Amino acid sequence: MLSPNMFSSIIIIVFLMICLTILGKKIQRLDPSKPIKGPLFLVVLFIDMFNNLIQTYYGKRWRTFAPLLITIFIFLAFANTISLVGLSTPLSNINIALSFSLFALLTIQISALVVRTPWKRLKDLSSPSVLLLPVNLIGELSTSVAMGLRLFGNLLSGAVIAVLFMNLLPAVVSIVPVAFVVHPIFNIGFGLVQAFVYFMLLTIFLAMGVQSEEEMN
Amino acid sequence: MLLLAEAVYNADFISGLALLGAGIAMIGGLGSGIGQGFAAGKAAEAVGRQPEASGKITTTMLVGQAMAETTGLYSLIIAFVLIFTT
Repeated sequence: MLSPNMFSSIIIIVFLMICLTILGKKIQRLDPSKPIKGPLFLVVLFIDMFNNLIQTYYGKRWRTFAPLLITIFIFLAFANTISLVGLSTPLSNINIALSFSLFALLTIQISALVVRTPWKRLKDLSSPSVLLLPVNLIGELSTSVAMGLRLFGNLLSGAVIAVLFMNLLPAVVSIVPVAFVVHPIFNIGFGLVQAFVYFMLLTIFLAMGVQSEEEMN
Repeated sequence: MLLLAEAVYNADFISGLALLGAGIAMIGGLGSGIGQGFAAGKAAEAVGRQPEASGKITTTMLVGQAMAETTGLYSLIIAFVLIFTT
């Protein structure tokens, strides 16, 4: 039996796979000589905005990392606001949150090893002196763990506060503050901000791992 | 004295102390609150000095505030662990 968090995460994944495949097919069939209309224009604008943001961090390598980062952002944006339709938030389960930090750790380390080659990566990690190598290794580990725990803490606190408000007053009265104050702040506001923050931190740490110091400046 | 020796083995006593510890752990929220306010104040100063860069300043401020929030969230997680596991 799946936990409700896992169940809603699977629902989001299936929904996004179907929707994004349909949108991608529609965008592939577009005529480049005509202006884009309707919701497709919004999708193209959104992807273009994020591509420009990623391009400022990665320079010429942006095309490798942009699909991964934007996919993670879209999944998190849907996962953090899913409780508006009655499903439980996936990230308020510690297992899913820690799997997000495992994902960040593996992404950063593997792409740094592949792009920078292992010898240069070792040189990067022992950058001021060899004595600081263990400290740098702990730093690499703790940033990834903190990224998952941040999502977990924020979304769990949002869920707990919503439940507390629901139980504070009789259900007929408490539906008003929960619907107009708690859900807009803790689900839409904090959820989208946390999705953007996870995306932004993954972008920055991945860029720091992948590029040498001359390329960053 | 007998009362105290009995109280140590009392489950209610232990869970009461755990709840007290959860309350004390949330003092850690103080630091992250001060840090976030400091970041917001500096961002307001920066917008006042250079209004055309306000978009970039807001993004940087949000990311920095989320970083500062992490320590407060650690104390929140510790408080939850103390409440729900004892």
